[in-house]
Amino acid sequence: MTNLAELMPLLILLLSLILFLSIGGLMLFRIKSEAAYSRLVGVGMLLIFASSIYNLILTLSSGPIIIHLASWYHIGHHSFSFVFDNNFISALYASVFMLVIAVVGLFSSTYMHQDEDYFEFFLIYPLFSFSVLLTVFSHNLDTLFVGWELIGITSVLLIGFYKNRTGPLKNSLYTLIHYRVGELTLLGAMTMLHIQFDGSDFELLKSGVASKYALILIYVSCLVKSAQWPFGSWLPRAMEGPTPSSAIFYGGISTSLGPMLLIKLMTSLQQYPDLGWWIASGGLITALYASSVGRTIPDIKGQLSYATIAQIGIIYGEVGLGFYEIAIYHSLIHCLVRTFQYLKSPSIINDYQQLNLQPPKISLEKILPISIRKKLFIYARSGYYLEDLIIILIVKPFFNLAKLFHNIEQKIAGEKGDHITGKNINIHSLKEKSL
Amino acid sequence: MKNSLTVSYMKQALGQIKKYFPNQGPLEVFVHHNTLHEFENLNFHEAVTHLKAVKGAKAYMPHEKYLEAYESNRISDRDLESQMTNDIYILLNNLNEILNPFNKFDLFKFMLFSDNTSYDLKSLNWILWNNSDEFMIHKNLMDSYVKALDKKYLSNIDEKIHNRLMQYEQISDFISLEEYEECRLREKKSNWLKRVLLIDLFKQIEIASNKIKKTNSSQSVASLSIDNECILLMNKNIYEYLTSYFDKGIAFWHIDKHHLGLLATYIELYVKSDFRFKGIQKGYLLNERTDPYDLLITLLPDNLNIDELQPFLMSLLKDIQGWWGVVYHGSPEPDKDFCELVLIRLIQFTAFHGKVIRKNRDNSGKSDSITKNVQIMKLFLNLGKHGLDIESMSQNQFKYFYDLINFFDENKKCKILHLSYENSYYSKVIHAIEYNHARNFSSGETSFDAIFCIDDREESLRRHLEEVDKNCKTYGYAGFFNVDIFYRYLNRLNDVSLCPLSIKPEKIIKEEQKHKKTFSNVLERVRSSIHQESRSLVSGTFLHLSLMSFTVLSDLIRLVFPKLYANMVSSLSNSLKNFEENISQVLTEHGDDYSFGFVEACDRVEALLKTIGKKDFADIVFVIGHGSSSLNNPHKSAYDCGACSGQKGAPNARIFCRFANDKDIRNLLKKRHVFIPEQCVFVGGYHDTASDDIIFYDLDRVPVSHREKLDKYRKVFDQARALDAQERARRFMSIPFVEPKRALAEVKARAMKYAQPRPEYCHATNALCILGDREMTKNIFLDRRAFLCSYDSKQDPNGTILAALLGSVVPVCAGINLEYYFSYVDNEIYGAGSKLPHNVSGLVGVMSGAQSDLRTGLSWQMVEIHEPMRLMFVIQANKGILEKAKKIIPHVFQFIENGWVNLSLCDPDTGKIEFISKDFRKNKGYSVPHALTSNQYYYGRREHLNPCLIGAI
Repeated sequence: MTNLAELMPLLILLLSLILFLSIGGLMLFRIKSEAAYSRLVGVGMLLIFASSIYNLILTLSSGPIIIHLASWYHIGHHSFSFVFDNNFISALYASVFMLVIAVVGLFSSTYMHQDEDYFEFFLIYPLFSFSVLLTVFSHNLDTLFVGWELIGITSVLLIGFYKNRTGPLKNSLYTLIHYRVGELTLLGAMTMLHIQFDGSDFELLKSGVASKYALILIYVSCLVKSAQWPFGSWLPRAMEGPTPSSAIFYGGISTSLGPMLLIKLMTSLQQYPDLGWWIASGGLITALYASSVGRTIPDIKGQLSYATIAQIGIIYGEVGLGFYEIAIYHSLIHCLVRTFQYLKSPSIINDYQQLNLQPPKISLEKILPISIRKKLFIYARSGYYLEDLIIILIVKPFFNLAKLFHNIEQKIAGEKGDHITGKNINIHSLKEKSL
Repeated sequence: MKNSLTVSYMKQALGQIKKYFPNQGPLEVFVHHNTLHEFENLNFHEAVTHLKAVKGAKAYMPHEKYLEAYESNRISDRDLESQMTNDIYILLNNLNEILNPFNKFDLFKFMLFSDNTSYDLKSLNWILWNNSDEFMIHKNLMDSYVKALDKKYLSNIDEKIHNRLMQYEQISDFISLEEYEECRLREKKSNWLKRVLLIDLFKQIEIASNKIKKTNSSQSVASLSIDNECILLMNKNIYEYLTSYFDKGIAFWHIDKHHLGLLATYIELYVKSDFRFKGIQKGYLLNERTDPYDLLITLLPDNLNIDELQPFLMSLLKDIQGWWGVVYHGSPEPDKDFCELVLIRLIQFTAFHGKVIRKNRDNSGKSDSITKNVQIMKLFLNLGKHGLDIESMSQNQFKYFYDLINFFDENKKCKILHLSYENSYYSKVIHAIEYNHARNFSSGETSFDAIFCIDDREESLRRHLEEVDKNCKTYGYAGFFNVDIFYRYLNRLNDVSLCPLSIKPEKIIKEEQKHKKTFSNVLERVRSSIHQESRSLVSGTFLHLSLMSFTVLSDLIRLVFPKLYANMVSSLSNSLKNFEENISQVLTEHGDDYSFGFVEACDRVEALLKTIGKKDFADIVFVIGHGSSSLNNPHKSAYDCGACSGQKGAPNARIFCRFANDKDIRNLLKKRHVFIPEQCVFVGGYHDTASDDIIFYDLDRVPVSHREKLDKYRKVFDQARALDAQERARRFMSIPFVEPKRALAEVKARAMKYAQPRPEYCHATNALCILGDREMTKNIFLDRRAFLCSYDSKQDPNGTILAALLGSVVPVCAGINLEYYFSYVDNEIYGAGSKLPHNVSGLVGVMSGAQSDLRTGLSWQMVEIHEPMRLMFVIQANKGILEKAKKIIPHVFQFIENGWVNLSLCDPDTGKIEFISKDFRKNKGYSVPHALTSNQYYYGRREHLNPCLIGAI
């Protein structure tokens, strides 16, 4: 039994990797048949979903297991190793996430029908499912980092899915920069652990000076991933992709990964009660911030995204206060609910007409005196200018850094590069020609 | 210049630019209208060209599409020939003296299909060096072109060419001396020659065309824009404000509106409180009595010239175009609100320190001239002319070519191609109708009559009905069936008007329910309010931890097994009780606000029957309204009946039948010489064009004697709708070719799926509107492309009926047609783009993605199979009647003359059709396909199908 439980996560991961690679293979050979793609994805997802359910049943009896797969490379004492775990929590998350992924996959195969980039979508999509599973089953920061990073990349690719308009590109860049911050902090935590313990297993976070700071850095990374205050402003801007991708990333899975990671680390968190308080109060601030902004948002996807941030804030609160069981239930249900709500969001006009819905009534705001209410409204409506602050503090410096590197690169390789690209070919006009 | 501006001038200027903004109201009630409605006083081609210049929107399909159409024989040589007008002929004739006898039509075709790639020096150079064969129509011609040169130079080609090249200025753009030498030594002679020759040719053309240009040099135009950084801030701010201001119920916390409207609220909220507006002088803004136009003049930037005013205002408003329609439809004084909108933008512009950026178009002008020269070069290459020939040409001779290229600019080419594209289809239709006239189908006694909406989607259903039951007769009338009402649905907040926009209904008809609320209704409501509340914080949290697990389950079933879910809900509600709505008393003797009087009702019935020319009545007359059901579709209202203001036409059909079945009204009608026999029963119905369901109403009122017949005819309907579903299914790539019953199940499933962005293709491919007797088009397969309107010119000697008919049908059908046209040719500017990232904002419109302007027009998923053609009206009437109608409704005929729709006339006796619109010619020589049934013709084919004669030859 134990053996099988050890194998299952690997099998699930392998399956999803194979799925991604075979879709990639189809693309490589320029096979463009929607039926082939959707069938392959359908069968693959179903298989992975079934095996994750089976795994869930296995873990009920087997107890927590840690699997040391292999290490990628060694440098001195340090090694980059892949370690997975298989316990009830990861198995549960894996099965619910796979359920969502499978449903959205089914949805997308109809929804994306005849889109120009149908195939691209179905290439990114299995990669996303692989990276989610990698994250869910990871048991050290090294493994986690790979999944974390891949999720970031896939989601950025899907935000910028419609390349013919500038909005998606701009907002995907905005999101990318946020994700980079999250990844840098995670990298920081990883480095700290490696320096102190020559490893990055989750158990190592339980004691030592480095562990606490590493935990804080991991927490920051989680905040970015689940769009918590003060990083919340990227989430509403990420609604640029096709509806199912918005649903799965921002309503469902991607944002739930933050709390999930903290829940996985709960034994370590319990060592530092003061951290718990910070997390809880951070969650509360987020919930208040996001719900007050969300109440003013009149577009459905925007409002859903702020509602997501707020609920996840509450979930952080539950985690911080130590109600882990509630947090698990809450985050899983929330993941399902939001995903479906996003999927159904275009029908809102119809819902209102058909069901005679009354527009929501203001409630709490009514208490405020009108002059303050008006002021508060415009601040809340623009997200308390958090976005502008982030642009000044993070985005602009990031760009300047990038520009600096660009300039350095140009200085080193500049003239030669110009010579190669610029001589006879005007790429732009060639493109026009090929279109 | 600010001092010289007056209020009246500003008013005029604003009125001018207002025209450029789409005028689409909230999506709840989507009514198709001509996207370029404001330009209807211009000729169609002028208008689209004008908008191309101002907004950069495409006027016709892309040039390649027409090329494709030609290659697939959608456009034939005959169609092109018919577009070779006199001026083109003269232009080509000029070339006679230079060219040896040549085929004018071939040259015409060459000009039409030469591509529009624009070049600059770099790209031209690249092509000259690497891919010059591309310039030739036949790629293997290049070698013979090079060889032809040998004869001209006789000997010493190398040296002569070398000398020629060296004498040009700026030859180093193309080739440096070293390269030249290297090339000469290393490469094959023919390759080298080819390049050098082309350079020579190009240089000669450049010299020659420069000479011409000196005589008429064009001025460079400065373009004006606002700096990007400011625009970003402005847009974010205005989108936040406008979405909140016009939100109809998504946000929980609404904006506190000032009673004076848009501008006052903005000032109150932002200018007073937002710290970013500190720099602005507020005194005159806060004064409510200031005239907005005065304010506008004060706020305009100082350094603006008077002729820059319009471009400046345009660039201010460019990014809120889509919002204008919402502002307009919600405002009692649209002009004032427009001014306020401009003011808000100006305040933002000032507050965010906007800068006006002027750019001269010098640069692009240069590449324009290169492109033009390359086009001349292509022409010469294909005519086999060398640089030497150009040299020996006189300036006048060269000018002929130059003019030719100038004449055939991209727009002109596309216009000519587009006309032939339309002509090709129109001709085919005309042939089919004329052939059909010669055919004689002996028909037995009429089995039943059915009156449908004129909608193009009903064409197929009518055809299938007639194929299943050869003796039935169908009619077309605007889908509100003359019943103009407000309708109060049981479970809806607002009354909806069920009639064309131009009519203001006076009556309110209420829906009643025979029984109490059904369980499914309650269930839906609980689910939806959970949906709403789950977005709030406190109740959302509790809901998540309690009830939500159930809704998740039901949603899961709904998403994964939509059919199962629909069955579950309906069986659940059925088991609870038999669910049926009822309509309140609609007919009283004198009528009041809630019911029609006898006379009123009688007028309506009489007008309808007279228009469709109905005299003999079968035992059962069906009156079928239509609508469409779909999920996850913000544009749902666009799929419903256009004649009912984008609502379902079921109540109208039902009420009309109540009228026509009433004894008192029949007596009244008798006095007016309309005789409805006693045994005739009208049965109302509703056709769902997405799921192809047909429901009949008030069956309990049908006398027992008719029940048997009714059941028989309902079976006919069942057969016909399955066939209709099959015909529609051929257009959906995701449905394989299947037999009718499967197809019916497939299209039904589409209407119930959240994941389905194409529940139906709606009006896509519409191209015709036929006014006349059904006999004219009966048994012609028109591929769901024709609005079919019954009209009998024999009953209309004065043209009054025709005038009334055209007065209502032309705007509605042309609105639909032109909206499809524009949304197809430029889906980004006129249309709404892809449906997939749409985000509903404030229940009034959709944005693309997170934050953007409201998207107006139709989404790509609606129009992707459309063939953009203007509607052609075929009217079955004598010219005399048309002339009489013209006098009654001159404005409609002005619209037609301006080319927004095309007109042709079918002689009722001979069946011959002639074009009234001048651009078209009836091309002979098409063979009209025949098929025994429509099913045989369309089965297994997905593409657009030409008209086809159905039935035995």
